[in-house]
Amino acid sequence: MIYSSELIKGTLKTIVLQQLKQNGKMYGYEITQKVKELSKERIAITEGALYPTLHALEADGLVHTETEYIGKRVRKYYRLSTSGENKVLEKVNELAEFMNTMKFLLDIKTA
Amino acid sequence: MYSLSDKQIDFILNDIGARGVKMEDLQLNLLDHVCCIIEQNLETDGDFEKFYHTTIKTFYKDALWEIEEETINLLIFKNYYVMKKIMILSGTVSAILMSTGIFFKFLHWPGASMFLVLGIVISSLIFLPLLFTLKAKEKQSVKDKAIVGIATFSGILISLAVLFRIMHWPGANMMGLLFVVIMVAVYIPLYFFSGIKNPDSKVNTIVTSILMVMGCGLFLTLVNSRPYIQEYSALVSNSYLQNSYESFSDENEQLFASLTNDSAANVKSIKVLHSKSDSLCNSIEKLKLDLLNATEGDNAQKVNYDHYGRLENYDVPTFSLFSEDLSPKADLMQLKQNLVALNDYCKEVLNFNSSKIIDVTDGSNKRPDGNATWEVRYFYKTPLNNVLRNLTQLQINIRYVETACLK
Repeated sequence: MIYSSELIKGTLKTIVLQQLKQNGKMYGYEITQKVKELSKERIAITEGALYPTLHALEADGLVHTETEYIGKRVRKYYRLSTSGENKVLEKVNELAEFMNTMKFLLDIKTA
Repeated sequence: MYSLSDKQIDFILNDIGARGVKMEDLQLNLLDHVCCIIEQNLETDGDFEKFYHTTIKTFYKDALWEIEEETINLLIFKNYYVMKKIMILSGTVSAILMSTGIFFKFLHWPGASMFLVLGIVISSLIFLPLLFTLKAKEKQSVKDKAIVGIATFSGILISLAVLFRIMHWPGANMMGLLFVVIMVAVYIPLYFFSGIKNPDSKVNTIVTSILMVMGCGLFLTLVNSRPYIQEYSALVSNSYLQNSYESFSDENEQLFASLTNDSAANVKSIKVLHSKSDSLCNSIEKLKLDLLNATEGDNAQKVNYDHYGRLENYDVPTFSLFSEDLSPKADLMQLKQNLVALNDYCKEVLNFNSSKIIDVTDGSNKRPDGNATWEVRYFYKTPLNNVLRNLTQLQINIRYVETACLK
């Protein structure tokens, strides 16, 4: 089962920031593949959601970028900035608390 | 694994541009992304063009430029909530400032203009533009965005028209008329025909449109009302008297200079008279300036009516010149004493009866709201406009007496 884009939308920034924290520098396609692999293909980040989010994170100063030429094309790598590193923990904690609240709210019993 | 040629990379980049993605950064990101997918998934001898077109279609719902639009939206509206908070705060502040300003204006208290100006400036330059930005984002169609844009522009126009009117700056009426034209010719028809099609909003649209037409009609009447004419008539007569007084003073100065060189003239008494007249006229001029500055919250150094409006304020002259028990304050008392002293000097030394011209006696022209002293008759609960006119008339009378004595 692939999760709906509505569910993923609110957590995308957190997912991207966490991936950058774990893997150092990453490029767009690499992020989508890594998330796909870790989520056992249940989370598919679309290009239409990923790139606007990466640009917004860059504008917020949470990530730094560096470019690398792969033949004729340019590859843009993203890496967490200092403020981005601080933000990851905050975002992950916020999401964890949200998940707990949802569990309680929706009366979800975990095994 | 498929290997892309430079030509194919150029083809993809050009196609991304042709599909409406103009941000170079985003173009390069998408190019690399597509290239990665092709390299990973296309067989070595696969059909590049067919695979590319199938792949790029998975990037969007309707068009590729949606990604750029979403990127721009995220960049611009990353502060959406901050903008919303500022909008609500600025709207509240401007509403409070405007209400306070109107309240002060009704009571003729100083500072009214400052509150109104601040309120209108905050509303026109912060609140309305933010409202437009946020509302336009909520609307989907270009037509709806245009309606919001026209409404915002009209709102800014009417606010500025009121501001210019209050501050007596030129162009207020032009802006007011432009507002009415935009509302009647553009906004109301657009609003009416777009709202009436929807059965849910039909009645609401008709009622709101009627109210807006009525509002425009009332505003138009206000723009052309009589107070507007009175504003200028008061201004003209005050300026006219002020000019007469100043010319009179200049002429007397020349006359005085010629007489002091004349050996036959009584130079000593002429000098005393001139000094008394000058001192009286200057103290009256200062009184006028103080009254104007107190009312307008101004710091003018010279009486100049050109940048004032109706000056219909009743309370500032009364508060400035009288105590609560109707007795005149020190400035007015001193003025009356000096006027009496001038009359006495003219009569005793120069043998000229000036008390008919500078009449400071009590008794005649009884007012319904107070005893008929000279001070009450001319200055108590009298519009600032008339107080200033009476004071200038007094200065002219002093100069007239001076001329009569010098001759």
